[in-house]
Order: sequence, then structure tokens, then C-alpha cells
Amino acid sequence: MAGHTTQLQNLIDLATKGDDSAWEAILLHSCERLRSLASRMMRTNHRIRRWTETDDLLQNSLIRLHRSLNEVRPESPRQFYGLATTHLRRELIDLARKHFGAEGVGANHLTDGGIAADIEPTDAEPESIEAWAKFHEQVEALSDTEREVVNLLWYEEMTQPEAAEVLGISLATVKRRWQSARIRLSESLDGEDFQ
Amino acid sequence: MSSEEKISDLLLRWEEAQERGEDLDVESLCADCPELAEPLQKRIVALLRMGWMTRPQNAANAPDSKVGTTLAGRYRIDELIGEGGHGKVYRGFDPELQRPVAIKLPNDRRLNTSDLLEEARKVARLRHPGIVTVYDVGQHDSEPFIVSDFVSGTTLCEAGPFSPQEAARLIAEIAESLHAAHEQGFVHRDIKPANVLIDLQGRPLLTDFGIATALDDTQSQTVGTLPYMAPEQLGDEPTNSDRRTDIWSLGVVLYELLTGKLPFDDPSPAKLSDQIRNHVPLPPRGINSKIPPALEAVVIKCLAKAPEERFETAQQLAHALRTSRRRHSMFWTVLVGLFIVGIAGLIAFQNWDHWFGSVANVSSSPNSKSEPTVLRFIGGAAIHTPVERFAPCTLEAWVRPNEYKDGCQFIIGSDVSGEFGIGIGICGENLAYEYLPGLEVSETPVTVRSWSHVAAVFDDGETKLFLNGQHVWTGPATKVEGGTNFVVGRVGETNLSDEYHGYIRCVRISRGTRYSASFSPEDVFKPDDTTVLIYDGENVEALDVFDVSGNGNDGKWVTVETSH
Repeated sequence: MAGHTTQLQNLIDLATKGDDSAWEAILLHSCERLRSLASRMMRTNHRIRRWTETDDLLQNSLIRLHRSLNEVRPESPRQFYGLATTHLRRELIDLARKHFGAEGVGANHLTDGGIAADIEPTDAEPESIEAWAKFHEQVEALSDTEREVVNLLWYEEMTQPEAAEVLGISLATVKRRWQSARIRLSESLDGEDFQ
Repeated sequence: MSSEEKISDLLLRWEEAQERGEDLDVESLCADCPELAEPLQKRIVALLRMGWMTRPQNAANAPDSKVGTTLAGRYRIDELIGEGGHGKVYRGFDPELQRPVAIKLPNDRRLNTSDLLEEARKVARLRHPGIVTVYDVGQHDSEPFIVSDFVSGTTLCEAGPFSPQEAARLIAEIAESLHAAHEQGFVHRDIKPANVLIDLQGRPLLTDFGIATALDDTQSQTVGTLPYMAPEQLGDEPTNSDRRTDIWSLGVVLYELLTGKLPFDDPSPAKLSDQIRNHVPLPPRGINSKIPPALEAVVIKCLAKAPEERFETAQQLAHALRTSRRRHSMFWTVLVGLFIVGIAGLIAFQNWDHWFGSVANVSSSPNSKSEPTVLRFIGGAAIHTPVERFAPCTLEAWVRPNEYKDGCQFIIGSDVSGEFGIGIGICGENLAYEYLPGLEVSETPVTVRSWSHVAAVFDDGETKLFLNGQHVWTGPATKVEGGTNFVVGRVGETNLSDEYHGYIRCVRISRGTRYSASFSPEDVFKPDDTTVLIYDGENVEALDVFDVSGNGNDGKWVTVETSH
């Protein structure tokens, strides 16, 4: 992963200097992140086993992501990641709402009897599509500095030193923000006040 | 320091200890600040709850963490389609080339990764319609992967049952593909029904070339493939496998198809190994009396203990199988001869697209003599020329594109990554050329599935495009000297995008301005003083494409071995 991020870093540098093919490669990377996170979100949904049923929706999301990112040119890697993850998260929330919300095709599709969605083990990732949507929304609600760190460490799967470099802050600051972001997320997701 | 900062510090210590695998308890952390124990404990609980955010994302998923992920930043893994002794096989998708692929993730501990990758890279150069094409190999998170053509269908294990005639036809086809591989220096070493795929048209394709080569020799005897192994692969001092080893294994498969049984089948590996080396199998006709004697003789010859007593080449085996079928069906052939000729002609015609002019053209199809042979571009491979790009020049070809693409498909290209080169191609549906500053797209479409002559003349003052001899576009000129070589079927040697899909009958690169006004294109390119190279589908041997202009600029089919 580290090598990949470094490569992306170089591409962003090239793109900021006006290299179109580098920009295209970056867009592809963002689309792949969306595809990967979307498939993860949908696979953990116990109501629908066959997440391939959502392929059309995902395709639309990918096209929208590609289009919205293509309209801008980042001036720095930091700005790119900010934009890309914001769009990415919006598409994930939209995907969850459209597919599994009241109007979604999955709404009345309880192939498992719906039992699994209510069980949430203590350190397991969201077990339902609704919980995933809530998670993404709560990330959106974090402070700018905390969200930026979550963007890089979780959505982009960077290492902490890589994130520190992109943000131009110390590793210790990255650690602190990452920690407080997770505590805040736990608080908002589980409704308990820790701070 | 405020108590919030103190808690934060303690939490970082706790988390760093966790990463090292140590579990610090709150009491020892708060030894000098017992008043912070409670809030610290709550925050630890919060972090534990969000523990999934810190785990590697791939590991978090069940049932198969690979599905939905992307390999090497490129290949999407969609579905597990097979699992065997050497690892897992997934159906995947290559978004760059927009095609489904099969992705193998070998996880056999006996496999030597570097040997495996080296072998797979070699296999990637092997192109034959009867062999599953390897597109790419690499490592992702230190695990090797192999990307190959996705074949819809089944393996030979699930196919059948077959009549003796069908079995003979099938094995003859496999033997011909195997021969093509042998001729290029490959030995399969692990031929078995699981390594033969049958596509939706019923055609057999050999897969997993090279995997067995990477197995640690000292442990290569496994129950899974032992029944198909040859005597020389077994025993205390196994000798080197050669093409006759594969002929033995194919003989075992044929025996199995004909009789429904393995020639040697003791459940104990030691006894099975002994049977293979020292016992004579039951004659196939003793199990199935419908097997023609000539066909039985072929099986027995394949299963000769001494390699030198077997067929010397897989081609000879194929020939013997086809002859045995002909002998058997002589009566019927005479009776319905004319009818069969008619049908065969029809089948040959229908299958033409698939069979003739195969990329590497490694085996001569019986049909290929009666029709012009072409260079066939299906993606993943292009012809590298030894000619450095230059201008002024004239690039031309007879082409039959398969389809229009959203981007461009280059018939001849010479760009280097991140820059343009000079080349001729089709963008969307229109004839186009690339020159150093960019791309010029004409307004004239090149008809798909139909033959057209295309030419680009890079002159000192301008660049002209011609379609079927008609001047259709004039654009800016370019200057270039060296930097990279011309490549046929792709925009540049290393640039995987913009590959041409379709047929090219012949290609000519010439110095200077060959055409300045509309002209009548030659059906067959002939060399003259300005010609630098001419390739056609007739003068191809294995991966070598011979320059018929007499200038010695022979090309080579090259696949892209490295992922992006």
C-alpha cells in the first residue's frame, strides 16, 4: 500500500503540473476506492447476498464521481484528497440511501429474515447498510482536522507517516487527531458520551 | 498539562502498546493519576469499539476477503470460481482493457514465488487459440498472482461423457495445442482434466502452464496429480520431464475419457507410484468394447513406460488420433461423404473468426491455407518493431477493425508514456493520427468488420491521412527522431491503453512521402527503395514476425508483462 500511495503522490504532483494522463490515472484510483468501499459496505449487508445486483447503481456512482472530480484540478495532494474523499463519501451515502432506504430495491428484501442487522458486536465494522450510511455521515460531521485524518487513514488506507506528509503536520498530531476522531465516532454512533 | 492532554497521552501509550501486542491495564497507566482512570477506561472502550477502523481492510471481510478488492491497483476481484491444490481462482475484471479476466492466487506453500513468476512471465508469451492466454503476472502484498483470459465454460472434469470418437477428437485438439507449446520450449508437467477448460463452443483449452515447474521438486509428489504423472517423474531419482512426459499424462486423460476409469488408481500414493512405474494397465477395450482397436493402440503407446517408446511429438499423437477416427468411420465417410464436406465447409466458415490468423499463429490450422492469413489483435499483445521512429515517413496498413472504441485504437504507434509519439489509429470511429504535440482526429469513419487501407503521411510541412487511397484530412506536421521504436497494434511499446482490436493483413513503414494526392492502394505491399519494413500475416512463425521487405526489420509479438 505504501508504494501505491507514493506512486499516487507522484501522479498528483504531475497532475498539478498539468499532466492529463496522470490525472486520468488518479481518477481511476478514486473510482477503485469507491468500488472497493462500496462492495465492502454491501457485502456486510445481510439482507442482500448478491451485491452484484447493485452494480448499476454503483456504475452511476462511479460515473458521477469521475465527472465531479474531472471538473476540478487540485492544486495540492492535500486538496485532492479532501475533494476526492468528500465526493467518495457522498456517493457511498447516496448508494446506501438509494439502494436500501425507503425507496431502495433492498428495502423489502429480507432474505435473512433481517435478524443479523440488529446485532452489532463490540469491535466489528457496521453490520448493516444503514449503520454504514450512519458511519459515513458521522465522519462528515467530524471537525475538519479530524475528518482530514480519517479521510487519509481510512478512506485512502494511507499509513500514518504518509498522512503526516500529505497534511504537512507531525506524526504525533496525526496520531492525536486519529484517536480523537475515533472516540468521537464511537460516541456518535453508539450514543455514549466519552469526552 | 490539562487532564484532557494527559488522557490523550496515556491513550497513545496504550495504543502503541496494543500495536506491539501488549495489553497495558488502566491501573498501571494511571498509577500517578487515579482520578483519570475512569475517563481513560471509557475512551479505551470507545477505541476498542472502533477497532475495526484500524484493522487492514482486506482482513475484515468474510467469507472471502479478496472479493471486491483490487489487485495491484488494477484488477477487480469479483467472484471465487475455483479452488484447488495450488490456490484459488477468481473471476475478475480489468477496467483498463474492459474485459473479464481469470485471476489465480497460488497459495501452495510448495510453490517458489520467484520461480512461479518467472515461469508465468515466460508463459505470457505463449499465444495459441487452444491455450489459455496469460495476460499479466505480479505480486500484491507479497503474494503472487496470475491474470489470464477468462474462459466461460467448464473443466474437462465436469464435461462429458464422451463417445470414443468425441474423446479422440478432443484429445487430438489438445495434443495440437500442446505441440504448439512444446515447439516453443514449454513442457506442461501437470496435464490433467482440471487443467483442461472446455469453452461454450466445446473447444478444449489448456491452462496452468508453468505452475508445476515452480513446485519444489523435493515435494512434488502429491495425491492430487499423481495419477497423471509419468514413470520418469516418480521414483528415487526422477529424470527430467520433457514433452513425452506430457504425452503420457494426456494418454492418462484419454484412457479416463474412454473408460471412465484411471489406468492406475490405488488410493495409497506409494502403491500408486509403484503401479505407474511397474504395472501394465488394463487394456481400454477390456472396459469398453466400443473403443476402436486403433484408438486403443494410441492409448497404449502413450502409456509406454519408456519415454522413447511413446509418440515422439504431440503432433504425432494428434495425427494418430485423427487417423484412428478416420479408419473407424471409413464406411460412413464414404456413405455420407458429400454431406460431411458440405457441413465441414459451413463449420469452417462459421468458426473462421476464432481460428484463423491466431495471434502467434503457432500452429498451422488446416484451414489457413485456403484463406489469406492475417495478424489478429485481441488485446494484450502487440508487435514490437526494431525500427526507431522517424519522420518524414509514411505509415500504412490494410485493417479490419472489430469495433469502435470510446478512446483510440492505434494501428501503428510510437509514443512514450506521458508524451505523444507518431502513429496512425482510429479514435471513436474516425481515422486519426498522433504527432508529438498531440492528436488529430479526422471526420472520416473507418468501417468496422470490413477491410480498409489506411495511411498517414508525416511530411515536413504537414501530415495527411488517406482512407482507401482518398485524401481525407490534413493536419500539422511533426519532427521526430528516435526515442522509441514503432509498434504495431498499440500506441506505444509500454503504453497498454489504446490497443487495436481487429485484423491487420499487412503493414508498411516507408521513408518520406509515399503519397501526396489520392491514389489506388496496392492489395499487396511491395518493397521499394523507400520501404523500411513490411509485415503480413503469412510470414509469422511462433512469436516472430518477419519483415518481408528484405531490410531485416523482423518484429516480435510481445505481451505486456508488468501491471500498472
